[in-house]
Amino acid sequence: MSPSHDADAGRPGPTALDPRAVLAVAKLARLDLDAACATREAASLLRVLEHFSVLDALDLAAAPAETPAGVATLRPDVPRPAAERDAVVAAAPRGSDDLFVVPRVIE
Amino acid sequence: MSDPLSSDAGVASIAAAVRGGEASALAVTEAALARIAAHDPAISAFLAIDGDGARAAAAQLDAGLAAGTVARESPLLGVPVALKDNVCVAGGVTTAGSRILEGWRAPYDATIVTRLRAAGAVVLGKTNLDEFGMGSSTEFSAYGITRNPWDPSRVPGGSSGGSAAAVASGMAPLAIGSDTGGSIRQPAAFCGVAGFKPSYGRVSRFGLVAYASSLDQLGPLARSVEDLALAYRAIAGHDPQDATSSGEPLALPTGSGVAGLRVGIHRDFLAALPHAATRAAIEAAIAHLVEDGARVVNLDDVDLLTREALAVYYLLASAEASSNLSRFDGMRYGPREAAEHDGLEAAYGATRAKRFGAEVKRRILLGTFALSAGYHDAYYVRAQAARRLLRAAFERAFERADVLIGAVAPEPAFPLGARTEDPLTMYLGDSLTIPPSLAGLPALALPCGMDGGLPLALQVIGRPFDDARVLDVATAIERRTGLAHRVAPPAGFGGAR
Repeated sequence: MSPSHDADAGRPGPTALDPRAVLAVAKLARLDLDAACATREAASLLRVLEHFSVLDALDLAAAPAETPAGVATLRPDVPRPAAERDAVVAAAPRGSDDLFVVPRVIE
Repeated sequence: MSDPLSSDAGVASIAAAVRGGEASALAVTEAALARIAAHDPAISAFLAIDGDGARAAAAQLDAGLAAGTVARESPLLGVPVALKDNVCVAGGVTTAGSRILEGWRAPYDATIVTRLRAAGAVVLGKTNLDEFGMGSSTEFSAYGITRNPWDPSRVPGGSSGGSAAAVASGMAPLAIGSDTGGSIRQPAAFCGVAGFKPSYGRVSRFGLVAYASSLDQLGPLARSVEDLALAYRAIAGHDPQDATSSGEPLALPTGSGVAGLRVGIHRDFLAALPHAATRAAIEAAIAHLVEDGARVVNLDDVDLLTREALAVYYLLASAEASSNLSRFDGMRYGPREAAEHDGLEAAYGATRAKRFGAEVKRRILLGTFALSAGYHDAYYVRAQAARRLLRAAFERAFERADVLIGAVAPEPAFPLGARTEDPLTMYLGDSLTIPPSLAGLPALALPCGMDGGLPLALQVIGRPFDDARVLDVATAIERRTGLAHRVAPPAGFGGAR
């Protein structure tokens, strides 16, 4: 997306949003939007992006580098036994022996 | 003890009655199903009602109790529970309120479902929600709106609006919701019930349809804090199936009083509120705590970044949503909107464009933009840094206070349709629930009054993993307000008692 900015390129605070740019982002997001929809979304997204300029006033250099203690909850990154193949296949909507059965996508 | 078959019977009284043999689990379930049949046509809280499954589960519980194979001390014995429809139940349709999951049947139970059943709960069905949890009014469900039981011309809040409305109208004594930026607390506030978002990592999300994984949290809604605590005890705890599930020791509420408690207040959550009646009701509740021995600490000198939090949230949550929802493409999940000869990309694009709703597409676009080359640093990286600042600010605040008490939302439930065409105004309504979500804090919404026929609510926010204290403080407030176990009068929504 290529929103226009007042100044200081690369920082939030766009003043315009081209519907063609919305279509480009939609393609990245695998969404087929028509031109009318892209125009509507451009106006809506612009208003939201304008609001995001409130972050400009923050001194982000003062942000801690790490997540404060007590908030990080990811489990230890250590080797563990892999899941049992039969259990994994059994959890799929459809399976056959040790394979997943999926909808055909290529003729 | 209230009649366990009545609409205002709570979790504790139902479990006690079933435990003591005063009522069977089947009779309690039948009573709940009858109320759903009478009231839900006017409210539309439920997307699916599993009457047969609920009756079978209740009968099995009764048989197990008679045979001695079901533990009588099970905390949720015979308690009917409604599940937000982004929680997987094996074999049942799970839509997340979206057409892209229309008809999709979950292959397994979410951990929270397994734990609720192990505690004796009976699943009644699935409740309505804003699509994938993206909304604050339950008007963005692909399957229709839900109405507020206190005033059917108003929204029930969202995104767990169906769960909140089911509890408020007496159709279920307990419901499960999910909260990413306020989706348990805000609908609980709008519907006059209690809702609890536990600390991030405290309740397993295995089997929850993901929206924003660094924020999503499951939790209960009920008509008293005691009932929330019973449900919390059943669902909290480590789960190896969820990589973000915490191994922190689980503390349970003790029922201790508030003597010596340091109650933090902050202008953004109280003094600056535009709604005078909400402000007055919260101040009255805090005054009760002071009478009971608590001390008020003013935290206005700490910038809790409530203004910036909204931007941080909508950037990060949308970015995570754009990634999480990329799996919904008509191949791996749900129906497809293209012929096979159209090609894979065309099938993806057509299916997602047709089957995602407007708000979901808006957030996917926003998130994809925030993550795209050239804008990643300007938006996503800056939002992550701001989130760390916000967390640090709450840490500083909690050095001087044990809890923070303020509002859940700037004002009570708004009229249906008032904000659907104005996304930013809808987002701004979440400004007081989002900061605790970004900091991973436990936060609880609790009724504290009425104004013009609409419920008012306050929010109790605690330190990370200090969930038990949040529940204890809420219990102390509820004891003074006397607003537990309220059910919206059926006359208000046209249902028959």
